Amino acid sequence: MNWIEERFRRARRIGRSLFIPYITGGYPDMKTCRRILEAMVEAGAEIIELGIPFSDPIADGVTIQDATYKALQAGATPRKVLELAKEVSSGYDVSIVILTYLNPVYRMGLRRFMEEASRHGVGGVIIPDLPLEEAGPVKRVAMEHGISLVLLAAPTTSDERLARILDETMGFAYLVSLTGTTGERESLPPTAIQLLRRSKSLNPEKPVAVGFGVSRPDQAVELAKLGANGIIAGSRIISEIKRSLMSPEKAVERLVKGFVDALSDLGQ
Amino acid sequence: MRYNFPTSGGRFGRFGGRYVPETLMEALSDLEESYLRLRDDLDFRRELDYLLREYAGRPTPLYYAENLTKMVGGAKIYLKREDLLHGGAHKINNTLGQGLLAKRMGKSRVIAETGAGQHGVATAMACAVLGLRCEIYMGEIDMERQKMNVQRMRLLGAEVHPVSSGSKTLKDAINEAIRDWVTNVETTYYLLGSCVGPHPYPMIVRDFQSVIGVETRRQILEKEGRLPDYIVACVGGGSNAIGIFHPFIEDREVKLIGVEAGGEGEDLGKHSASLVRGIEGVLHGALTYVLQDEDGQIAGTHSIAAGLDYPAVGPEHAYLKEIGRAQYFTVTDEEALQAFLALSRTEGILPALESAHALAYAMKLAENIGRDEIIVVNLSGRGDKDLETVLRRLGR
Repeated sequence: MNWIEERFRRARRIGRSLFIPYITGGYPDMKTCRRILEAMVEAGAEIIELGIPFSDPIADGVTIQDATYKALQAGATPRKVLELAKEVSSGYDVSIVILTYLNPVYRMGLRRFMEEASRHGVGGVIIPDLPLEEAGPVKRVAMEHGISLVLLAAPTTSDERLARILDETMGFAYLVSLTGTTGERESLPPTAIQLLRRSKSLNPEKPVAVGFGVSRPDQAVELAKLGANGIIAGSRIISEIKRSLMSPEKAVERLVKGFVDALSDLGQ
Repeated sequence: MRYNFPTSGGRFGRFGGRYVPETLMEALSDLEESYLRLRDDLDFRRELDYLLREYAGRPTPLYYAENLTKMVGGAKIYLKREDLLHGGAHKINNTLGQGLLAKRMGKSRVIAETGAGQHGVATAMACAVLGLRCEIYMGEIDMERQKMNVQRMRLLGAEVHPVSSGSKTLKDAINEAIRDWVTNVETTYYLLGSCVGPHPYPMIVRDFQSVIGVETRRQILEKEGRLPDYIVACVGGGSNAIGIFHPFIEDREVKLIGVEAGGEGEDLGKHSASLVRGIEGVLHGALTYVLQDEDGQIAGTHSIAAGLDYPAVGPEHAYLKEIGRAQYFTVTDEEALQAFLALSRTEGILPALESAHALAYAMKLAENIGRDEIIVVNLSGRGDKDLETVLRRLGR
């Protein structure tokens, strides 16, 4: 059992689900990003998803594409984002999970990347263009460095694959709520609920976090009540930052707190 | 030497694979399964052969360019005339094949990316003749550069979506097509235009384009009684090259040469030479050679030929380079332009600027080897689309 998985179990024992906020590393700039990360922890986030921006983010909708572009313009690099991870994880009780695409990892060198990530206090890595079939070598190296490789499952994933993904993933499984890219949606897609139910019936023990399209605390609560151990929101955070350029960290703190509080008392 | 790639996991050596979001994994397995079933289906073959012959204009001639050969003063130069196909390029070989596949799979909506617009036009043609709905993603900069092809696609009944993200060119059009496919995967067929992307696309596109090499082999044996010494083709994503190379891979005496866009210089951003100057990486679903910076961000590219303007290359080319079965070189914008002019004047053929890269290399090569040697150049497309670019370069 690793640290991330332990956080989910501990939360579940006291009737909570965890809110996992995402931010693109280096967005809107390095300094502000750091303040926002701290605000997330202050607001009660135990796990934070931190993106290493990649020039060609095929799984992301326009909001995160835009944040990626801005972060790269502002000079974000894999090393600088790992530095951010270190600053936050060394000062606070929080698990940092890095989200990036395979090419930046491959370019740095798989072993080198995992070594660096481990040295910078990273707990897990999510790579949306690394499906189960290709994950083997990456997982082995991640494990050697004590890092969880988090696999994703989607509404189009068959039961047979889903069972394997739940078995192979480390820390938690990332359930993609809909067929589509990241971005805010008005209502929860029915596919999210179906995928969540299937996951829980195939493997009741494995923590799962639902992401893509979650934008409001009531949606998060609905998913939590159906068994989601974690709820991930990314585009919602980014658009909040965009809207609140004067003091984005305050706005994000309020937003994250709203989610965390809603998920703290599920009445179980 | 037996050559039997890709492996069942979609690998050419260590290259290739299937690096895509989970949402697409089942769709790619379905595609692979349907393709492997239909590939050997007699009805499917017959229908495709009919369309290639009666609609697209196959077989294309293998033309002995006697005037050009004399002008260069060396080895004999043959041209495989893919420029004579319907639509003016080899692209239609693939779009008819995949269009039929989409139809057999019961998908009514087809999406595709396009750079210069040639694949977009060929997709729009195939969809029109096969009765499929067609939507094309094209970078805004490319739309501006290739206005005529945008109009052609629209007249052929396709909807053209401008792509304003990233560099607003082919790579971003592919990103956007993938995002559409991730969203509409259950109803939509993604008709990829080159031998790039996740497995099984590099295999499917290669197989449909291999008709070029199969015909070339038969034709050169008829004309010369032997196989050629060299086959030369331009490489962007690499579909025309893999199409003419593949049927010759086991014939070690035939040297295979791919020509990439050397553009305006060797610095990153000034060329599109992924194999010659790139580094291994993962883009658009495959492990291959990629033009990228030290952080793994995909680099900008340049070529006078829009169809070569792409920062990666088909994984099978990466493998052929690694095992030394094919060799890859670059030709600059200026050299391609000179070859364009030379062929126009000596043979009365305006080649596509993409194909002019292969031609430029072949002319240099012909000069330096014996008169009894034979070079086949894949003339993958015609140059009408490039007139504006050429005239601007010539200052007219």
